[in-house]
Amino acid sequence: MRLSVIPLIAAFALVAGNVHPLPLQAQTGPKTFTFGAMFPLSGPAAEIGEEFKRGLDMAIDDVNSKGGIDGWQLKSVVVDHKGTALGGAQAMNQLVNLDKVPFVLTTFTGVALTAQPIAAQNSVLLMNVGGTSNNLLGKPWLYNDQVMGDPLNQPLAQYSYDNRARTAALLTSEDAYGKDDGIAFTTAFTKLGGKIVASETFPLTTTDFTAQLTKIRASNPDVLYIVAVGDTQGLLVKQARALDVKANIVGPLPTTGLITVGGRAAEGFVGSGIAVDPTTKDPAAKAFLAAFKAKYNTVPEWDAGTPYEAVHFLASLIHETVRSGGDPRSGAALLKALEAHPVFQNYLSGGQVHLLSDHGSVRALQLQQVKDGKYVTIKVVQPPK
Amino acid sequence: MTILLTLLLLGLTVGSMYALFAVSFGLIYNVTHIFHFAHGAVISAGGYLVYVLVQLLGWPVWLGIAAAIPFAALLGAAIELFFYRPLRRRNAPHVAFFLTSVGILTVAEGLFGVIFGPGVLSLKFLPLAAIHIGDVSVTTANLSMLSAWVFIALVVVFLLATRSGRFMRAVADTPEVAKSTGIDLEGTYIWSFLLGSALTVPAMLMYAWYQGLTPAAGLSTILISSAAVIIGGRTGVLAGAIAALGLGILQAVAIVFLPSGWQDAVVFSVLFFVIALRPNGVFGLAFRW
Repeated sequence: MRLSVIPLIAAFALVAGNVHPLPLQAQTGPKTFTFGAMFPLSGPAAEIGEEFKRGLDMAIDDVNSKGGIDGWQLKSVVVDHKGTALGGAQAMNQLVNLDKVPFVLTTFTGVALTAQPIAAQNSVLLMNVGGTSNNLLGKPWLYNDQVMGDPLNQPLAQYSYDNRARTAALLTSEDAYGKDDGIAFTTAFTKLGGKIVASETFPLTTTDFTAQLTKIRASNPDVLYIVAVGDTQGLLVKQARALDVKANIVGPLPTTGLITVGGRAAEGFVGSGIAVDPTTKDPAAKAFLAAFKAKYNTVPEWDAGTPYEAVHFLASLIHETVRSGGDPRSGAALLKALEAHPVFQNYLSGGQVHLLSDHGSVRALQLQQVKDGKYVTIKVVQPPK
Repeated sequence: MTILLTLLLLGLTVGSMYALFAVSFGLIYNVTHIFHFAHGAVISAGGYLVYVLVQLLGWPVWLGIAAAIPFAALLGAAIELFFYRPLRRRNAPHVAFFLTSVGILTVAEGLFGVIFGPGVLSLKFLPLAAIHIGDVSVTTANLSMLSAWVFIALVVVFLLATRSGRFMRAVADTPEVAKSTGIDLEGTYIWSFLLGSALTVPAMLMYAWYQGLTPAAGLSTILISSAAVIIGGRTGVLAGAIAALGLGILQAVAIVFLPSGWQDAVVFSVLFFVIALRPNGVFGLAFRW
């Protein structure tokens, strides 16, 4: 008797599955819209992952506390990609095959590049809020809320050259981020007339840069350009100064870890990233910056801001899809809404962010310098009109 | 030429630190024959305890270190008592010891991540600064690594001059013969865990001085120290120490001839060739304790 129940249950499950192809979440209780997020939550880049998550959680709370969006409550499934391309593939496969989400936030160049084909095969809309490589542009199903390699690195090259740097050494992570941003900086710096005198790389998980820095010190560069994430930035500058590398140090996307781990060695570092304007008059941006400061006692950096923006953008896509009679749990429907309205709020400096035909975005960026243990904006670069 | 000299000096210092890690691992591995991967957990635990006591609670550095050494020793002994000894009494195969060991390390790494966060913690009470020796620059942390040889010398004296040390050597050589002469095997195992684990504290401080503390630090140090012990051969702790010193120098100098990313691969390439060509280690019986 016990055995005969099993095929019955199986048959029922099959019939139920055919009659109701939508996820179970849609049929019971309040409507929940589940989407994915891939952040580095372990490994050397974990510190930046925590910032991404702060922005994500704040945006979800914002939307849900106002009753959700057209009756949908937002819920995220956050998966750790460990900062590696392999981790990205595993995370994306989990989100697509197990959680069956139609929308995923991605971070890190290598992760986004690995996830994009999986997203395209499964009609999942992918929003990059961290990776900067030029190679992320023009990929189906992948859109970018981030300043990409060329616009991010050109101001660094220009700043260095304007400050009399004629020779540069590169120390970059052995992944797509390090490689592609290194190329972008090299192109911009050599175009200005500068010369690259050394180029070294390091594995993502390494914490000892002695050998690379010793070679770089011997090449005596005017400027040291580094590409690293999270606490690795801090470790790198700390070891560089301890090994008596005297060059000015610059690099894209500086994070909190640069200062907390680097300490005094981080002084003078110049980094480029998305502009944050604490004096903005834009009501939405002002409200976000104030709420973040009230909650975390600090002004948000780009890494908390872009996930925040992307979740609000997702909410607007859900709204547009519902308004036009579509099902927001379909990645294709969300993509259609995005193509119809490729604009969203800039919560970091006010105004709007426009997605371009190459799937990149246009927004202001800033050069920041570490002074007395804090980031000070030294220049804001407006995007071309 | 200056680069090569600098890299040689840096390799010598880092290799000295590796040597202390290798001795601490080798003391346990040679005596108990357990591939004690959980040693990585003991290494990290000692480092984090010093961080808590000195940096967070404001204890004097010497007192923090003095407290962490017996803590690490007892933690290592507790792993033997509560995990390995029950397995030994059930005649569990070697793979069971290894898997238990890996499990302990994995759980510990997760715990450290939850308690201290997954990022890098800098030891601010150990100032990192440049020291110039002619044209060559090294760091304060590098110089501290040379003190590893003082600890190694003390271990050698302990092994040669004390009763417990002689028992450990005898058990490492031939446990059956040692047992037949009345040596308490399990008591000797405890001694090897106590001593090997205590040594992790100074070694870990040298490591964290330069590279900071992370939950994964234990794993990265255990990989290199176990490789050194295998390369050196299981005949004595000095063989592992000399192999570790060689690996440190090779790793540093390799960057002159190979792309930067090949540094770690160099260590494991050497390990591969040694296992293939001299499975009992490069030194054979040359360094018997």
